[in-house]
Amino acid sequence: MFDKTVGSNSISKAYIFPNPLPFTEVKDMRSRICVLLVILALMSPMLLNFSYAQEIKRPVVFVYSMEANFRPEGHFNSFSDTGYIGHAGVNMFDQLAPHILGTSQYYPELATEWTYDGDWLVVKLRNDVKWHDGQPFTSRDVWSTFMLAKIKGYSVWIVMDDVQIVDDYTVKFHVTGLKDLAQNWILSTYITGPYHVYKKYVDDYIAHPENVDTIGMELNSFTPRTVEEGAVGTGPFMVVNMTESDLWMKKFDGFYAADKILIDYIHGIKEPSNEIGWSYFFSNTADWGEPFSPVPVAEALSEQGVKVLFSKSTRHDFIILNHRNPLLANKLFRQAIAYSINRTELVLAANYPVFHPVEYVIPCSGFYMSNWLDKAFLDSLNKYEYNPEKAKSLFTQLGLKYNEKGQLMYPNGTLITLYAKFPAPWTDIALIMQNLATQLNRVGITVIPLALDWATVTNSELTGDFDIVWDAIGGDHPFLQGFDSTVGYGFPTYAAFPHVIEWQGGEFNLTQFFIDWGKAKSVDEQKTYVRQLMSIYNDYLFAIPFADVDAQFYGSQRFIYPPSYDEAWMCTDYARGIIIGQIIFPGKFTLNMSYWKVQEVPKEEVTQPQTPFETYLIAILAVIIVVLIAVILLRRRK
Amino acid sequence: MKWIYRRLIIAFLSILITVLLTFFLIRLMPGNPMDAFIQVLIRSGRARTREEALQRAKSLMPLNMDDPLWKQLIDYILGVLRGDLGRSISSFTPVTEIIIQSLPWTVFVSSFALAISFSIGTVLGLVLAYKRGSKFEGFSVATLTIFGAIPNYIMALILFYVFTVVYPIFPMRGAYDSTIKPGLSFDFILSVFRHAILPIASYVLTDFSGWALGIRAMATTILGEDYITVAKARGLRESRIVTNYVGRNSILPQFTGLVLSIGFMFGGSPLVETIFTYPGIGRFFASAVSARDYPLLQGLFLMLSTTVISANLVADILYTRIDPRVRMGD
Repeated sequence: MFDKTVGSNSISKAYIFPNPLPFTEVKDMRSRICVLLVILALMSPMLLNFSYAQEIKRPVVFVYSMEANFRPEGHFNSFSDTGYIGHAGVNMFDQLAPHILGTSQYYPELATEWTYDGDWLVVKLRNDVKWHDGQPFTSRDVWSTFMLAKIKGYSVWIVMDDVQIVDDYTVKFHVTGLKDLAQNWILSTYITGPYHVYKKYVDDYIAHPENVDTIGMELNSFTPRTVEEGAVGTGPFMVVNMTESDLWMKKFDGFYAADKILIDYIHGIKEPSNEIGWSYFFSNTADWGEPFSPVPVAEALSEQGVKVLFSKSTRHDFIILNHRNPLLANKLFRQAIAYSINRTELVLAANYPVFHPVEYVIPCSGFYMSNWLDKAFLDSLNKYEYNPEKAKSLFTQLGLKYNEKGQLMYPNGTLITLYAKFPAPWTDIALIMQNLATQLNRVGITVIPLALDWATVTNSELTGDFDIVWDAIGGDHPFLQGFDSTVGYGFPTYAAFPHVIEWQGGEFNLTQFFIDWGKAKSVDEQKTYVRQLMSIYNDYLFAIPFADVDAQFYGSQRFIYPPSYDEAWMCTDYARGIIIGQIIFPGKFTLNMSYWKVQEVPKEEVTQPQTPFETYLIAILAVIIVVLIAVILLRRRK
Repeated sequence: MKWIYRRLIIAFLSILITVLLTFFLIRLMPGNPMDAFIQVLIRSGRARTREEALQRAKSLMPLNMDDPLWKQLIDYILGVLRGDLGRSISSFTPVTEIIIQSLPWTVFVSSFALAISFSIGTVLGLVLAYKRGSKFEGFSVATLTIFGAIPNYIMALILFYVFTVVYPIFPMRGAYDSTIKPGLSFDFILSVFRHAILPIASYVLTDFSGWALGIRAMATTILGEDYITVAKARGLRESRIVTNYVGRNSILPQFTGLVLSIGFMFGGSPLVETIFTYPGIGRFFASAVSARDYPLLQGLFLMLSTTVISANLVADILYTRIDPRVRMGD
């Protein structure tokens, strides 16, 4: 913890008067003492501050705000289902080799090299790494991390079926088919399970694999909160203190590249809502944060000198259409809806600068498009430009008709009414969905927007109790992007997407398609599948993507942030958490991060912890005491 | 004594009915803990696939969602009788531990707020009653009505913005400075008070007007009573009439409200505590609802209903002591 000792002023020292003294001398002495005391009193706040400043080493503290919860959720056992370590984990732990989306490259952290030997991914490790408690990092720690992942049923074990220790600094994984995906998942795993800390659980599992569920539950109850309790990582920062609202992390001097770490402390502060998050920047409290904000707030912050930064993200916003509704199960009707929506108007309704209308109606965020889909292919897709007349003609083609009020009806005269559900706490999404209802009303479809709490929206999705629901999809790998959009997030189940569809004059089995895709090992082969899926999606419109969503960040003047042209930075998953690592540790990923440096900052701004309020109280108290003494002394003179 | 026993039995039955009602009501809310947790796992990136999220959610659930409702209810009641309120689904922490950890903060803030708002409200109400018909009264009543109409979370946002952003005098979040080690030190105590000032102010500024207007209305009626005229005719000092004659009599009806407020005080305010990231009960109420954390919700409602009903019982008993006109069983 910080030394918060306030320097004591020395006014309490006793003065010994020589005795006897002539009365006049005593009188003069008292006057002098009075004057001295008054001067001291007036100066005491300054003296206190000065002494405080002298005693506290001015550490460089990086303050960032975040939505994540801390205690009791945030204890530092990443294998506990409730122990989400979030942003802290990024700095506390290292991956073997993170995959940087912007460059599609892997950057070595704990691993120095990795190669395939047949179906074995052989990974060599650094030999100069230590855990925060001083224990050496070896291949046994990597092995135990993956064994713990197996106990907890983590999906990395979908793509591998064995992990073995070769020597102290070599470990190998047996991969089951999807080599590219397996490499991605294995190398990007955070090594969070030091064997010396989790020995009991791993050994129990090896001895009694049949007790996996019991061991998994026991793991949930292991809640280390301090380094001594086992909250250790290999990363550049170690946990110091955690309250409900604050997280303090301290530079780990034993880090294998400690000399490159420029920041002494990380101070995470909880951001209970976007509005509070903005306040952190209006008040110059935080150096970094990511509360979404509408255009006026972003402009106001920008005018105040806060750097408002955007980065490309893999987030892709959709409206999901429930295929249980016979009308929505009809491809022509879904296409008509797509023609009815002015995507630009939709995103402008929110007035948030992060939304960009999609150009192509496919489940591929703009982020990946250039790498995976060529221009000629994209041009062959149906863009579903806003065309309400075409939508109306499709409705007519389906046998639907309009009443005298211009409302769309089933052939039997029943009014068509759709319920659109969305999470109420997000004002941007609420505005978008209300605008969607307005736009669909224009073509005659009665849409009732329902703003609900998150749990209700989720439940509606999971139980298929909706007509239209907002959702967002993001992926951490181009291969997964398509996979997640259609399978991973379970929309086929929620929205009753069919497994077999009509395609190019015949039946097309989507399930088999994904199985075959899973076997594709080369990037070119995968690209073929990506293109095929996009074509199917574009025609069939399982759901309607409408916006690419950037990530939005804020930075204080105290640090220099990367320029927008940096591809490595220009991606959410990299930026969201690891950017904090980047600020702290330039060159961690062997990138050209010459712009990552701490600016020279005025002293009063960088001092942390700041002078506490009690210092001023003590100072004022001192003033009062001294003045009182002075008054008493002066009274005696009379 | 018979009357007290009867009241005790009614109180116990009230608590039991509340427990049963809350047990069923929270299950009538759309959604369930499993769905909510799956969503959290997927959205936070902790689970890569829905299947993984499902497996992890199942392994975590401390209550068996597949059991019939009656069995879940019996398990819950037996647990309560054993003093075991179960484990929170969202944090896997025992509910009693959450209550024990968060309740002191809520009680600390709420009790200060209640004491201050009641004191200010009472004094102000008496003054207003005594100065009835004056411009001061008109202005004050209008102002108090406006303050009373502002919800405490709006007041909290205003105070937050003014005193932490525009004039950064008070801390923005938490119950104490995270750089101070909790303990009986001057630094820590001072820090606790500094952090509590804005939440307390949020409650006081929106609550004191209710007390003031209430006591003003009562005192105005009392001022027209004969014994006040007699007291004035006897030449008693104004201050004595205000405090001993008017104050004491007009405060009686406020007493029940005060004791009930003490009961509600234990519930905190979800929004105010969320704005200041204050680690009290209210914040847990908010998170428990959004996570559909049944055990935590049940535990919090049990605690709140017990305190409110107990406060009601205490108010009934004490009222008979304070006001001799009311007799038990009469």
